[in-house]
Amino acid sequence: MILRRAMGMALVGTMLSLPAQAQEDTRRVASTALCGDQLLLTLLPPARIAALSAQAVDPGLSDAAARAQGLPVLPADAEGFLWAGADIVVGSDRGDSQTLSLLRRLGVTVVRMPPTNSFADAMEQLRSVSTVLGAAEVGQALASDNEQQLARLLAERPTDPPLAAYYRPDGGSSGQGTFMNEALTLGGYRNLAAEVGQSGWGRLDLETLVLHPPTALITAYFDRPGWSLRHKFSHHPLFRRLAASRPTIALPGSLVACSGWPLIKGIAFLAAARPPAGDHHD
Amino acid sequence: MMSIPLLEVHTRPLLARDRRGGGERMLLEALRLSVAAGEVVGLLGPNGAGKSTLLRQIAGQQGAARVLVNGQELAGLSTTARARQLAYLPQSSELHWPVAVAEVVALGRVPHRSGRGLTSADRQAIEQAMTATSVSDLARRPITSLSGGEKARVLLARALAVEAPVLLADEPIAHLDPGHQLQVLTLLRRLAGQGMAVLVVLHDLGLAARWCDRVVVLHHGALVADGPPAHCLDDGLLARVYGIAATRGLRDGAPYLVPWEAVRP
Amino acid sequence: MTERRLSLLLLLALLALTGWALTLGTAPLTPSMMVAGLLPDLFPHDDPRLAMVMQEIRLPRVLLGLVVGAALGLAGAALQGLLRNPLAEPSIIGTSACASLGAVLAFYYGLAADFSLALPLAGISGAALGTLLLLALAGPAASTLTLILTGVALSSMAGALTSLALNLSPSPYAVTEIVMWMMGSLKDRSMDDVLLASPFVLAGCLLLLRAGRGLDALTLGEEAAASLGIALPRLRVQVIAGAALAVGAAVATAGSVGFVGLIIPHLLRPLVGHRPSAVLLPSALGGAALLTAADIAVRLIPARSELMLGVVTAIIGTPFFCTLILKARRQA
Repeated sequence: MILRRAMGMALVGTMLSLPAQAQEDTRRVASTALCGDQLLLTLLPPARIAALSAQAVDPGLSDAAARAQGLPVLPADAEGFLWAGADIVVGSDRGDSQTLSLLRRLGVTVVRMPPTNSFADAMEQLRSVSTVLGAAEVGQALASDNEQQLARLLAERPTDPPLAAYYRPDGGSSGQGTFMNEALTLGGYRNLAAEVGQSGWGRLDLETLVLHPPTALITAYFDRPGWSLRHKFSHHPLFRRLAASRPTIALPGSLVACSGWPLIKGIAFLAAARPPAGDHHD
Repeated sequence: MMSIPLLEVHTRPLLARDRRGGGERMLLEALRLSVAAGEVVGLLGPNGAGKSTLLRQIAGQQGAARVLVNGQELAGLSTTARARQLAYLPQSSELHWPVAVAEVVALGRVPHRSGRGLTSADRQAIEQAMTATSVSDLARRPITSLSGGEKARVLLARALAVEAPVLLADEPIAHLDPGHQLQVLTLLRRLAGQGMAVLVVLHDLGLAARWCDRVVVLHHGALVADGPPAHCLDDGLLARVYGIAATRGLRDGAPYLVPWEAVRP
Repeated sequence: MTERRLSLLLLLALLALTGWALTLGTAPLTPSMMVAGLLPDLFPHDDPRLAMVMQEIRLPRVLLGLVVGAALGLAGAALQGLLRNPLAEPSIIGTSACASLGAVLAFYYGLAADFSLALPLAGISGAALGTLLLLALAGPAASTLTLILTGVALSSMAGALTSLALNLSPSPYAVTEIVMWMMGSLKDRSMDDVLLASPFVLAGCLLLLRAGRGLDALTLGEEAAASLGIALPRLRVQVIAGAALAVGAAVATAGSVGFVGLIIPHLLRPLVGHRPSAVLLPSALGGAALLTAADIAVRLIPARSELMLGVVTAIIGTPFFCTLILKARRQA
């Protein structure tokens, strides 16, 4: 008797947790950070969005800023999400682990979106997260479309890619094992930071830049004043001279702020702006 | 006059590692010392002779001296029971917080207290100690605001509040002006008169000669003299131990001595 | 003012602050909704979120603030008594930094995820090691200068090792997480955190509260204290173990929140006549009140994202620190 009742409850539980195909999914979703915002704004109808992070409406960082207008923006705390009626919360792995584990305790479905370091991983994450959000079909379509776009871009990739140095305003770059390195490679460049053996998000110093003059400089977030304490780097006379004498590609930050969607737009932008390879003389 | 000694001390040799030489240096040789009830004994000797070391040994803070009070071995007692037998006034009168004078004196009751509050016996002991040292008027003043003389009296009151039969005082009159020095020594005499055994480290030979029943002289860690001041502090000892000569005289039949000049030992 | 009356006043202030803190949060709740959320049996309400918000989000946060604040306030007062220096404070003498290091290592090696006690235990070990090192380096009755220099040395060492762990960390995001955590916060802690930290903090506080008589005797210096029957080695172990338990567990759950143990005893000491034992209990209550107040400020001050608790206490604490330095300089 008890067993049958338990089985019955388990069955009901399974049915509840699976979004019924015929019935419209009305579960509301909140995101704690920028990259989750991008997914929500692309995959879900506005009615299902319970809350976005403050960065969602910043056009310099958020590709979907226009769509975020008018939607609820909340600080990343458990109480706010709970009160906003979020059934699912997409977390970022950036300082919100306390909030996420508390929400999970309170019965909210929590999806963590740790940054991915390869395009393939990013697509896998996109598919799995969209399934949890009950938007498997849209997510599947978006991922396939991304993959097709990438395949087209790769087909046009030159045999002798130009050498590029990528810079954030603080002098920080991105070496091996970063998604930015992946974006540069897929976009048809050789990444200077990775070629000199750097890994991670460390600085690419001016000396390296002088010793290995790149064909192009790629900058992101240089349009954001006060973005970094070391903004001075981009004003260094040597850097400015190097920048003046070769193509400088200003990459919109909103296209490369996240390791997943919409990074393909950043890769396409890089591919479109790609100069021919060749030794550069100062 | 010599009755059963109230305080009896047998020390073992105390060696210290010599940092420069690498060998060992004698801090204090094995010695025997006793103080009777009603006696003020002056512990004398030049700097580094081992006076404070001896006092610390008796107080149980260094080495393993055999100490008896009223014929009872202190080694078997708990730290608090031991503290009730010996009141010790260390040389460095550190005072770290601006606590009220009454609170400082009340610390003398720590070895007697089990609970948090003060008993009537505690209060009485505190009051008596403060009256004896005439610091009752200062009761509410922060200890850090007192003059040197007042502070010395308060610290003495703290030691008296222990109500121990033995008082060990390490240079209680250093840094005091002559008026206050005499006040403190008068007080020590009075305490001895009430039956305490007082062992006090002094540097001033003149005051020691005048106020102590007996003096014990240490030199290089060894006991070199023990007896009445007039007898012990002769020219030979002063020259040998201190490298000085003294001028002497009599006032109202009592001998006095004033260190006069340095001499070659 | 007597110790008891001061404690009573602080307790009243603490109750008021606790009540205020419970009213703060992102959800716009009316007072009756808050009461219904806290006491659903007495005031039934049909919205299940009310009980969740009040009992599982706001209440743990407030409780953890009390526990952590009491630990820091009391540890400060007791360490000051032991070292006889008003500047001895867990964050200034490096105890907090060492506790952080312990906790960061537990994070770094993933111990915290596998074994929930790992974090407080690592914090406590770090704090104990730091305090022992301090005592070994600075000596039992350190001067202000020695104490601060030793604290700087210990904090730098712990900070450098923490940075090393961060540098070696595979993910830049883990770095953000740990850096944010180190600035201290009570945000979104659960009842589990409260239950994890409380036993250690309680044990530590009991050890510290029982050290009062010995700390009083130390007012006269070590020799006089020993002559009054105080067993100094035992007293030292008691205070260090107590402070390590309390501070270690507090730092491990709330991150490093500095200066609470400096501000509170400094403010309360004159009110109870500077007696070290009389400062202990009021400091625990005052520390809890200060941390609750700081956590209220964190949520009231408008900012893009919630201010970090450690930042607020440091901003309040630094002027006190400077005042104490000036005082020490005048006395020197």
